[in-house]
Amino acid sequence: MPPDPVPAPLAAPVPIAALTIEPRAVEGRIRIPYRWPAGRTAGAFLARLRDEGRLYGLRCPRCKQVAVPPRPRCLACRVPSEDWVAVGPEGELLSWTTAPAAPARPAEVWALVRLDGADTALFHRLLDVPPDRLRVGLRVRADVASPTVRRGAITDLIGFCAV
Amino acid sequence: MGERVAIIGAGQTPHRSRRLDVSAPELIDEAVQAALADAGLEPDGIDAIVVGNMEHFEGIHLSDLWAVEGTGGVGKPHLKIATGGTTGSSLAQAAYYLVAGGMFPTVLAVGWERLSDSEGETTTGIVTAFDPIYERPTLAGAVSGLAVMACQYQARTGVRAEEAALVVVQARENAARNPHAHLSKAVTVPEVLASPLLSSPLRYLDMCPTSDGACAVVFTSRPGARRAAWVRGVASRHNHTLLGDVAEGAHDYINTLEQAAADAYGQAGIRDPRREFDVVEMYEPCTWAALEWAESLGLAPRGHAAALWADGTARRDGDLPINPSGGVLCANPIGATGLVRVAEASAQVRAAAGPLQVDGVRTALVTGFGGSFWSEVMILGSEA
Ligand SMILES: [Zn+2]
Repeated sequence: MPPDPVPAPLAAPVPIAALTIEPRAVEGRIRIPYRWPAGRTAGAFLARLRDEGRLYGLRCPRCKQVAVPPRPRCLACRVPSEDWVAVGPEGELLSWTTAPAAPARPAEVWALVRLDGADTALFHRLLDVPPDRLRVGLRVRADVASPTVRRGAITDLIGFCAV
Repeated sequence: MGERVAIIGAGQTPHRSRRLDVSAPELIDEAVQAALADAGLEPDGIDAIVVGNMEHFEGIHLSDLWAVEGTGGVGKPHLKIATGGTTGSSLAQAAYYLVAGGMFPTVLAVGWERLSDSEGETTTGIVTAFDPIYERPTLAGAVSGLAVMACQYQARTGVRAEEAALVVVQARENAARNPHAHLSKAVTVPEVLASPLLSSPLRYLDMCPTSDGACAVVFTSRPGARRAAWVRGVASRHNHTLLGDVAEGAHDYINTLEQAAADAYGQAGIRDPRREFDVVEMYEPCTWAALEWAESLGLAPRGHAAALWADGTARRDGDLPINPSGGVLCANPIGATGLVRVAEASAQVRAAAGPLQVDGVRTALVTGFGGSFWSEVMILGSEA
């Protein structure tokens, strides 16, 4: 029988602070597909946008304010809102921001627009407004995609153009 | 009001663009050990821990599971809190409530983030916070919410970009004295105005960076003879969800910072914030926000906050120093950022701020910002 191997003596412990740390990282990627339900209220809003090409809000029975996008309860009063009202298609520019082109996307202008008949603002794209015309209060108009390509998403509203 | 609550210690890591030399728990450990040493406590002096980060930035779900090796939370009550930008200030508020409520004598708050783990994708992570039905299909950048707010502020006040730029010029000056700051290189107004446009009117140098870092703060009802910063006011105000509802002009627009400040000022008996605070540690994600929020806090009349930076009032040697640490514009490890404000302000009150110390601080104002423009306020004082 061969003799048991003699274990090598352990090296003297080295304090961790004296070690040269080699930065080391493990790479990974998480890809998870999701499906998010629009729900009853946004579902109705998006179906009418698809079918009629129009934007609707919900009016509070108490304070009469109209929320766009519509919400099942008034933002202020917290009571159910069931009174659908057509809004727009024109509205007023409240604010905007211009983002230059980036590798992943072209230059874009985003805007807060309060549609006529609404009391809240909608955040969406601004289309082809010359920079020197941008100002708070500018009149804009909703540009809705043609019926053949509408699919019941907020992007059926392409954006807002200057009136 | 429950137990009187004091902050008796705080610790931070250096905040850097990337800390590849340490794992997440090692990063957290650096801040926790510094806080324990500052408080003169052993780990068994901590009765409960609240910890927070925003896990989509690291891709580590259940991050509190990983964090315990840094927080020392094994065998203790250990609660996670994640509220976006306010995560750090929410941690401070939660720790305060746990101690004030008499549930635990001493609670450690720990905030951390490693934004370099998803380097270059911070915006991607933030976009996952937006409503997928109405906002994500059209929203390409997380900066845009702050940008439309800045656009409205600019339109309303006529403040010019070169005035807003002074906020970051001063922040970098202050950060030069702060060993924990991520960005401390001096910048000039022309450099800010020449930096790349991110989303008008915000330019690259108007915005906070993305950092790796951690922070820990000890809250207790039993400070003993330790130097203490007493919590004298705590308030939080949440907001609506969609950008169009939180913008000025929406019918139920509320200024959450103004409301939270009014609440906290009432608790602390503050009547004239401009004169009664000795230092402010404000959560300013961009230069323009600092202006608007100084006004919401009552530190300047509406439309006139730029003067605080232009006339030297906000300098570290001025009449009302704002962010002597350099603020969020010079370090932003998101889950820690709000807690860093508390750490810095408590160090000022405890006369433990070292090279950042402002003379004679007795009362300090701290703010947190997050989500859809919701706000948190904490007031610290040298007297209970
Ligand atoms: Zn109502």
